[in-house]
Amino acid sequence: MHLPTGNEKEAAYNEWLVVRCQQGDKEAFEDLIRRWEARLFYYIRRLTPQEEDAWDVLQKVWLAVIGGIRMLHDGRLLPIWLYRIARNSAASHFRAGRADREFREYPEDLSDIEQPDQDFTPEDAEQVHRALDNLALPFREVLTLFFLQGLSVGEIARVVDVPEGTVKSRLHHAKRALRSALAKGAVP
Amino acid sequence: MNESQERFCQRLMAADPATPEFKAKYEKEMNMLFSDRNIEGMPKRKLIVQTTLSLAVGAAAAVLAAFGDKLFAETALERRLLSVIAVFMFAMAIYLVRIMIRGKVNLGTYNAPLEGLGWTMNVIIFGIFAFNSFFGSPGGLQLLGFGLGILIFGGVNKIGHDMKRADLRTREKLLRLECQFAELTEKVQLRRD
Repeated sequence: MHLPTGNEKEAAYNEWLVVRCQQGDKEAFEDLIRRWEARLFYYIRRLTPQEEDAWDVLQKVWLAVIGGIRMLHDGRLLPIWLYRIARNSAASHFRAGRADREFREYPEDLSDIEQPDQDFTPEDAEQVHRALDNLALPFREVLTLFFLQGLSVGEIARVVDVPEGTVKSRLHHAKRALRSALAKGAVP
Repeated sequence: MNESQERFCQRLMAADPATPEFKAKYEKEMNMLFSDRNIEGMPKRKLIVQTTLSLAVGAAAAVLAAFGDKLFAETALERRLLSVIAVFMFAMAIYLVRIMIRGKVNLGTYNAPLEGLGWTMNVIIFGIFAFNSFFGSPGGLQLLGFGLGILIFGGVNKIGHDMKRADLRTREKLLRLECQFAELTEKVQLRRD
């Protein structure tokens, strides 16, 4: 008999939550927000220079979620769907500005790099947080998704809309930069 | 995510505390979004058009019901059916006007009365055309075909909607069981460890 793993439990819960939201269950929406608010805010905050903008973008994300959740056919894709909405909302918030260009301008592809492992310990978290701000947006973005949700390279690629090789490359460079910053103690 | 990744993630988020004023403003707006959603822009215009149409159709049906013997509805039955239409359209208009006066709607409950009224209207319109046809009004057969078209269109929509709801209810029950099973498995594994 197949016993569900932690990830499968999470996926089943997400799907259940989506189905309840699709039925207009207010408590399910509240639960959805409770579970995702902090993660989405952290991600959006890494994409937006001002905190106030991040809260505005987060509110837009929830409006888009309320309006679009009936169209989400596979509830197991909820994390990818939510991060995509968050990314698009942040990008449209800064469409005319520099941030949008930063979202698009990174064509590098080093597809021979292996998928990275989670090799930072919980004790590194505060330093990693400070170091993230020193990375370029595309590196910061993939690393944040990787740390926040443990998304696979394929899933991150779907969120940021680039090939998997590019995600691998960005993760590789970003982690190397982080490690070097942590080793040098360069992070204040 | 394993336990270590989860702890890392929690500490990462804790390292970026929110400014209380910004968070309070956001929470206030989120509360309004869920309990009382303001009707503005396109939804408001849509509501005005719907109300105007409901009132216009209701008034036309009422006039026809009152003076039908001279205009269109020749039989008493037709006039009674027109009265029912008028009552339904006025009911819909009252419901819409109440929403507009309130200026806010509640998430998920807004469309249900309108869907019910819409379906009932389909049935009534079909009834009128069918009776017209049976009582030998001019062009009765065409009217019956037209009425049948409206009924089939409404029926297919309603069946599709009901099927989707039933499917969602079934899936919800199955997923709830799956979640409970996963939770039990986790507890058993924790005890074993």
